[in-house]
Amino acid sequence: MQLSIKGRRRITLRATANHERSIISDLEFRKPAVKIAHWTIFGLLLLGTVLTIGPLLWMVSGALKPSIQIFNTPPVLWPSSPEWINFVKAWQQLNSLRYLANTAALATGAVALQLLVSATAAYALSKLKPIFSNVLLFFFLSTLMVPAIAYLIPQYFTVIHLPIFGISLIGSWWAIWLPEAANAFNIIILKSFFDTLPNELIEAARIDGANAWQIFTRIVLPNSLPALAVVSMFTIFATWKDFLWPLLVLNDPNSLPISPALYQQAIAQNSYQPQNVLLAGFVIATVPPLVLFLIFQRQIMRGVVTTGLKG
Amino acid sequence: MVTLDQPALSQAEPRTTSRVQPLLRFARRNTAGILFLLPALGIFGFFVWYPVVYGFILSFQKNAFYGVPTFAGWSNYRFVLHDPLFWTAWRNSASYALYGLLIGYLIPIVLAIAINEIRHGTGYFRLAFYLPVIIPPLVTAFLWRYMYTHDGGLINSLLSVVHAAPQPWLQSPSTALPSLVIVTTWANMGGTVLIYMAALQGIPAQLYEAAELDGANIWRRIWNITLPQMRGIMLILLLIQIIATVQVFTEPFTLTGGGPDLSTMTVILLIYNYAFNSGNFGAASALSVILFLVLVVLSLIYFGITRRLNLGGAE
Amino acid sequence: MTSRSFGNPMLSRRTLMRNAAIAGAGFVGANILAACGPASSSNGLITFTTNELPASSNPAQVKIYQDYVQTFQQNHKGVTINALNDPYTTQGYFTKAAAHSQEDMVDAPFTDPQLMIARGTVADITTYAKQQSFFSSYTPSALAIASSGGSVYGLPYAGYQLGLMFNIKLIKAAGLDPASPPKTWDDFRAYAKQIAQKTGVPGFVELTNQNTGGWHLTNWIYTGGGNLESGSGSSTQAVFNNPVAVAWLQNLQAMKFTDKSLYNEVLVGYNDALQIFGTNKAAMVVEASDTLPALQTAYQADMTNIGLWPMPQSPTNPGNATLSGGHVYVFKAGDSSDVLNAAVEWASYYRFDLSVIENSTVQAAASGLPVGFPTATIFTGSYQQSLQAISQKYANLPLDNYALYANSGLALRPEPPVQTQAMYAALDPVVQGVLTSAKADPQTLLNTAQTNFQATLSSGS
Repeated sequence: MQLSIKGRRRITLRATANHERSIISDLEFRKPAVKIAHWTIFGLLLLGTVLTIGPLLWMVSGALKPSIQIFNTPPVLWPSSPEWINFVKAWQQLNSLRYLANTAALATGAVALQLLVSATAAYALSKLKPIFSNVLLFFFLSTLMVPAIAYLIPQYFTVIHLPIFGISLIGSWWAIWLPEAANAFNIIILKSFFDTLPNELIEAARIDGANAWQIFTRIVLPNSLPALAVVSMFTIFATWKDFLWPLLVLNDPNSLPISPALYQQAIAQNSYQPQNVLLAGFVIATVPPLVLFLIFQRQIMRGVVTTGLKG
Repeated sequence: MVTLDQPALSQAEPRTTSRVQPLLRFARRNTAGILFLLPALGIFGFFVWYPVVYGFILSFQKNAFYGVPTFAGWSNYRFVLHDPLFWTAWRNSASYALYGLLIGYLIPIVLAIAINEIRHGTGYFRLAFYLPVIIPPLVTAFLWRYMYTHDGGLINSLLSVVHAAPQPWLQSPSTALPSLVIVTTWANMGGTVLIYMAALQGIPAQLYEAAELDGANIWRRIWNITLPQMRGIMLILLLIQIIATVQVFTEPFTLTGGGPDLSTMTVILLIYNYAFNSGNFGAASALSVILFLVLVVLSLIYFGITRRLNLGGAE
Repeated sequence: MTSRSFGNPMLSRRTLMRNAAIAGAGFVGANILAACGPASSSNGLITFTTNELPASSNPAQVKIYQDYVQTFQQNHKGVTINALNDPYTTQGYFTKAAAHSQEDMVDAPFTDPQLMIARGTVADITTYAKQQSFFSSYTPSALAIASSGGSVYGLPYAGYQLGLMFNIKLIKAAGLDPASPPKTWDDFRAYAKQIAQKTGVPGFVELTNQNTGGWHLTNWIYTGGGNLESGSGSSTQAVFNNPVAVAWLQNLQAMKFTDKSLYNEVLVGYNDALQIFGTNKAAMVVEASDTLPALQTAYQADMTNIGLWPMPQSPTNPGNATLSGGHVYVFKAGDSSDVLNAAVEWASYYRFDLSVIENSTVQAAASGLPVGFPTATIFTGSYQQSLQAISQKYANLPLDNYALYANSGLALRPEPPVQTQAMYAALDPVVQGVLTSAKADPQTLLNTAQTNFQATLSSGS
């Protein structure tokens, strides 16, 4: 995580090429051999992006095919008469709206709770520094060493019977929000950002009579919007990808987010969804995060770089 | 670093006459901080620290779900260690990690270097290679299942167009695991590419200039400057990748369910099967603890490396 | 963590509650409350949940179902049925049951009630069941599905028997006669080979994944007179590593690698098989007649093109049997008597009331759903005769195509009772194994599976 702090200071994504040289210098670049190599690599990269974008387009084209063309040899790249009806079917029969709304609501709650939990902790550890804060920081960070999957079972038990409170969270979205809010990466991201806020700013507010809460809400948070945005984005994508945990803790299929809901529709022995309708459902599930990503791509990709978090 | 709001605790207070005053001071200095930490302490306490400890307890209990739990001694561990699937699962998880490195480790490095040298379309390439990362893993899994279909799937159809033999992909024990690794690599390499690109841009230009003046050609510069400069980050991502692959669940669960013939039965799937197929939560917990210890050792190595690199870094 | 970090739980809870407002709790609203609230019977109002809502891929069926719920609720003031489309899986059910969050009334397969009874997740409904008029008509074997120690824990409502489903056009194209079924494994193998050679379409697709491999292997073992489990309770032994299983698996292996008459993929799940067969990618598949509606609604299969034969039997040691299973309603342990009574009443109304059955059959036929396919009988006497009469009166399927299957005279063998789904899961790799390699040794695979599953049996979980 220290790495990330260092990274954020040092690394800026190159917006326009050539303001700093890389392996090949500008002078070298004028040589014909280098030019040929450059365009060869360029072509190979283009071919490479066919491998990443191609499958997504294949999914869309499959969703538009009549059942009979879905497994055709040679492959039908684009159906002659696209069956847009498959999207209508997917929207209605797969209850897409409900599951998209569930996912959006889950993501909203997750963002709110994670920001609250991580930002307060990061503020305390960065600026208030109460007694034992170094020890606590270590305890938070040490959870990064513990892969979540290794305590899946006891975590499930905990959700069934929450100690002290003695209640069960099963079936409630809190069963997703609360465990997900224990995210040390967020604390690191925010703490390292708060560390860069000048102490003089906070001291001045204190002299003006502001208490810790006011400083937090009026000075620290408004000045940290980029970091808060990165945390929010990662939270939204993580919620959208969540699969196993919602399947375990949400007993009502109507409250599931889209991934496990689609899984049930694809696998359940009584759902019998034809392949093209399922594909249309997958396209529908992919569009919201895709749009969000295209809008916020700069911030997200910068976030990936600064945190070392791989999405 | 010492700041205005944080005088050292041991500092003498010459004007203090009362014994209560230091307490008050202590309270004033710490109350807000502790209050601000409470939400995180609560959440981490309930949902991480407690479960981690509880997992150890569960692994020594029998029948914790459907009846009154009883102390089971080492019997859950004995059960797990004697299960023939135990070694199958570990072998598969290890192969998963190994294939992951073979297929997925070098590609991002090469891609990052290439994109970084390209003078056109850098933004497009960065975007296009990152795109799969944001696709929900469930969609990724089913999309690949669709493309892997033996008769009429995209990949075999394309192979038949060029008169190549169709491949069994997920349908054969010898190819199922690599086929899964291709899926995971496709889905995850975008983030790694971005991190490498950032590291590449952090390499000082003077190093290349000096090397060029010394007459080093492009390959030598990559070999002698780029790769050594990236050694640290490459090592860290190596470990992150191993730890991440061992944890992969969605792809094998939805694509193969551990088959064909147990060739993709990973440790995670085995834990899931113990718990939710056989209802043997004791065995599931015992295997979780074993996995936990293995991954913690790997994580410790990771943090050790991070720390060492950091000490040698710019700070 | 010491008590220090939990020093003020009230505060952190308040913080969370306040946060609920930010979290858009309004959005969650009634949905979540309905989901996590236990079945309630205060104020004379009774609400219970059930997992049986038909899949939305079949809107006609959903409509019919909801109309009956409406009518029932009108006739039973104060009762609300919260029906969910939450198809049963063993893992899903027991995961929820561990948290006491399974639905109040669950539509489950015959394989699982005994495990549920052992784990204490289902309610004793003896008193409510015995009040129902149909109850006395159960066959002893149907009643045994969900009974233990003289108590009744469930209501079986539909049975199926496995048979050999075939594509009539492909069979004819291969020069075979739909009226003469393959009687033995050898005949069956020859049929599949002939189909593959004459039509180029795989003769047969076998299920292998998501426990279906074990399910179908059990059926084949029955056709050779073999057993899978012996003993009972905690002394149950897995005995499926027997010569019958080996002989069948060798047959299957030969079909795949010598005859090349099997579908190419090894990982075939339940829905996969229906899609493959329904879209004419394989000529034969082992299925029950109750899959016909799905074949029609989801894969637009032509009902006149599908026939059913009885299961071929072992040539050397015919078991003269076929696997039979079905659907059973079970109810949640710990529910109040009001809720249990209401749920049993609903089951009795929707699945066993002859006039309702007749009405829904008419409606199903009117909305173009297949009606009249033969099922395995779970009742006797006049009640059974009435059921049969309704089914035949409104049948819109070519019943002649299933005559040999329906009147086969084969013994209907129930599935093995102990940890059935876990056993199926252990057997999946065996079937997958013989289909992935010509060199795989069935005996070795079966022995490994036996060791694995015996460990599960012995762990007593």
